Amino acid sequence: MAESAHGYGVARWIEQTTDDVLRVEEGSLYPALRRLEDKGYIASDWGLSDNNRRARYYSLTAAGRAHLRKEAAAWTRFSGAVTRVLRAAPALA
Amino acid sequence: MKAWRRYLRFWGSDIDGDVDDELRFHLERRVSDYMAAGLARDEAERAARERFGDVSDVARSLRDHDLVKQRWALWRDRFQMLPREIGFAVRSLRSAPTFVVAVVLTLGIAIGAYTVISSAADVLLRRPVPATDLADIVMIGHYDPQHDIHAGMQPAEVYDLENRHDLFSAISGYRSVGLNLTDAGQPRYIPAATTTGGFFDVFGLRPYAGRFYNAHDERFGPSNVVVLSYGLWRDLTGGDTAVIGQSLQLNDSSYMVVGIAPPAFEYPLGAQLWTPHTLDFFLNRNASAMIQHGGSVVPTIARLRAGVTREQLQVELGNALNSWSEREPQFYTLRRSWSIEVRSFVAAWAGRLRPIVIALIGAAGFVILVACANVGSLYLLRTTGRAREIAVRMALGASRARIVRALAVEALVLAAAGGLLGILMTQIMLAAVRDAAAWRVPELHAIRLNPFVLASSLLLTLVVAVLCAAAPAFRIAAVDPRDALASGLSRHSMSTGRSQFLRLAVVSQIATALVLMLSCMVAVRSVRRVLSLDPGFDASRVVTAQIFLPKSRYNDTTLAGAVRAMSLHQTLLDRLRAAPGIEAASSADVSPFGFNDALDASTHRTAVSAEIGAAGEVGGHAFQSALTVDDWQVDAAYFHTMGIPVLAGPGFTGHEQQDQARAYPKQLQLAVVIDRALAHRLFPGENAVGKLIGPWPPGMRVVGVVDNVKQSDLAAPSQVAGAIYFATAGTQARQTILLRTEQSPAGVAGLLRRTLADLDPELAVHDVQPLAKLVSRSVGARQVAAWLLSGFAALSLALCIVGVFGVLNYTMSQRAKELGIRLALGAQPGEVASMVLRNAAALAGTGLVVGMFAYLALQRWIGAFTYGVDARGPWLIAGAVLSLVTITLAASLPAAVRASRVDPLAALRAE
Repeated sequence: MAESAHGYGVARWIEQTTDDVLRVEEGSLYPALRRLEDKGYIASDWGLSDNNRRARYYSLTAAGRAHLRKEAAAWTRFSGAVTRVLRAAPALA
Repeated sequence: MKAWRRYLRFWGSDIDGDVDDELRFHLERRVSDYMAAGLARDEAERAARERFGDVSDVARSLRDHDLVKQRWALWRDRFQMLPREIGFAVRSLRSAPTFVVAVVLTLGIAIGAYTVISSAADVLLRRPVPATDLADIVMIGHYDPQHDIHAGMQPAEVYDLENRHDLFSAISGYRSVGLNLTDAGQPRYIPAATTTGGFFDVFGLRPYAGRFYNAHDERFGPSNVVVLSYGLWRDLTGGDTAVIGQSLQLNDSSYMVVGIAPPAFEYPLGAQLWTPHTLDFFLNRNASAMIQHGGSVVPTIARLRAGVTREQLQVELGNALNSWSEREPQFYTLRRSWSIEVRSFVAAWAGRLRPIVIALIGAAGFVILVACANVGSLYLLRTTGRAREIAVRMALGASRARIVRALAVEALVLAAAGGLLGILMTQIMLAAVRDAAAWRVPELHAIRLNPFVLASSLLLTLVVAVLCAAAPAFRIAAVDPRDALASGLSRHSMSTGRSQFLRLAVVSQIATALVLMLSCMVAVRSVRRVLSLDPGFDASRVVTAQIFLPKSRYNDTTLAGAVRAMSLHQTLLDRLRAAPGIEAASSADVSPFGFNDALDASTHRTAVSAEIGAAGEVGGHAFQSALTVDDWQVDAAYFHTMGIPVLAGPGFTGHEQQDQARAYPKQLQLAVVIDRALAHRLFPGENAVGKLIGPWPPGMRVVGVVDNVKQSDLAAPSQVAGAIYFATAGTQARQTILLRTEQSPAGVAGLLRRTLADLDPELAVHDVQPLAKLVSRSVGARQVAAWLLSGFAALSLALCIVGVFGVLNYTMSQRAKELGIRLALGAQPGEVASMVLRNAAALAGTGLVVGMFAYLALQRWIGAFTYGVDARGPWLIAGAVLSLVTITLAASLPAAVRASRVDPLAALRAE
């Protein structure tokens, strides 16, 4: 994903990257972005979109990147564990 | 235009626009993506909205979020700016030192005066004791409507009432005593109280450490336990709770410390120790003791059971009194006219001082009013004078809000300085009140800085200061800078509204000064008047001292104890009389004006009745009514020492007690001396000497008549029928030694200590005071009030001078141009000066008239200070008016002189 993206871009990126498996709840996307901004994980600024429209762009801050790394590692560990459990489950074997 | 856009557009401003833009961008991109996928436009839009959900709801929550965030950011910025603005305000104030000093002093004094008076009022009228639910605490006692005497309860009655759990959740009788603490070196006198067990429960207190004793301890536990006050505990141990469980030597018995009372609890009357005592101590064993001790009443406090009203209690106690009367008719018949009275504890405690305190609060209010007027006019003058500076700043681009803010910050800085000074002044004044006033008004000993009162007065000043600063600031900022700069710069003339405010301020200052000055004069004269009254004895050169005999060795209810006490007393007085420089020595249970408080004084009253009929037929008489008289226990040398004239009869011989002891256990007729009032009341037109008086057999024989003596109040007419003197001094626990001497109290204290150390090293001498000082203490509340009023009057006078001087001087300089023209056109300097003076006189006249009306309207409150002085006396009023006129004119002289010396050319050129 690019350095910064507008809300719609974020939603589209998630949909495309996951082949529409994860569909973003658009109504809660923007409040979620505000919460992340309050916590200092992302910053926002106004800019022009590729079709020359005024749009609000969000980008990760240093604190946000660190937090992402930490949470992503935890998630990977967790999901890996779940995968291993499923593989080992005799009923699925 | 699409519906959701219209909806969003509805919310104008930045945040709304941004939220609107962001969401619209999202929806439009989604629509165009759908259209690229082959949907028709209207279909694509519907799908996009469906996909998104409730747009307006999301928009609203984003908007709310952003608004809160924006507000926070704004405040953060403002506070970050504050230090710089304060620095600027301080620099700008530094250029006007007179203004700063005047405002800060005025604010500081107003805060100080108000806080001290309110703290006093708080202690006296609201929270004399740090207890919970003070409103539920009542004081019960007998009341004699005929003489307006509030007395305590009989010990037996207190015990009866302890079982009335339907009425009280706790009840306690107590008595103030002195104990000799003999632990460390020299014996030390400690004010203390012996109480029945419920004492601490009545106040609902929790111990600071350890535990309190209760009713069960009093009856069944070891009685030699003691609770220390927080102050005494710090004093003795430096704050070590290990003292709990250890023992103290008090009155040569060992007492175990069980607990420490919470800080600031020192009831009654600065008590530092509390010990439980069964009321045996107070119980009377025989009729003669009953006569002597007036039935030995104890002050009684109780906590009402929840749901019981005072009215209900009153009725129930009336019933109880009836049943007691049936049980002991002899005692109660003498007090037929008495009733049981239920008073709220706080009211009973502060009753005597209430009118004075309320009047003083009013006086403090006046001072604040004047102070506000002063600060207001000072600000008005300053901001008006700064019109040019402000105009320049605005012309250079400062916004109006910025200027108003700067002025407000300046006001806050000044208010803060005034507040600090106020806190300082409060501390100093409170210390002064504690030192000087607490001795005169014992109820004030608990006075301390009350944080709530202080906070409220600080808040008040803050509001006043900001209002004073804001009003002119807004007006100045509203001026168009071009106008201000064009119209003669600093000579920006004052609007009529402003000069009217200044006049009003000066008029109110003069009026207040008149009211306070008159009240102060009335109060001071009243004090002088009261002190000039003849107490009936010669207080000069008499020094009093207290000793307290421990019951363990000097128990006056056993013959051995009484003999020991009498011999100690005899030897002590003989040695004192033989000492160089002592003209006369005597002792009494208590000296006139030596009482702790009104209740203490009332316990020294007794009921006697005239025995009507021949001597010898005393028994079996039913008496028509009892008379209440003051009861003094003295020795034979008392009248001589005190300078009380003996009018008839031989008086006491000095052998009365030995005779009584020799006749023991048979009771002799007691020899008594009565005063002129009682002799006249009982035996009008006859010689009272040799007569028998009642009420109980074998009666009392009058051996002398002395002149009337005031008991504890110079001003009040005597509430009782007279006085009766018993020759029984020397055996009671509490004794007052009276010495007529040229020596200083310190010298007397030394002599007494040396003499007493020879006789009994365990006894402490305390409260060595000149009798005259005790007498003056009786007017203590009046005196303290007079001091405070004098202070307030001086203050308002000073503020008045500052006000008149400042305002006239300023208006004069505003009118320099006009005066210059007048002088140029041929007016004489004298005429110009007299014009200024006429102006001042008009202000003074208006102020005095207003003040006079206010003073007359306030007579009811001023009456609290008045004794024997005509508060509306023409000379008094003329004096005050004249001095105020003089002061006002003197304060306006500089302005007049300046006006007459205006150089017409200079004044005109300056424009």
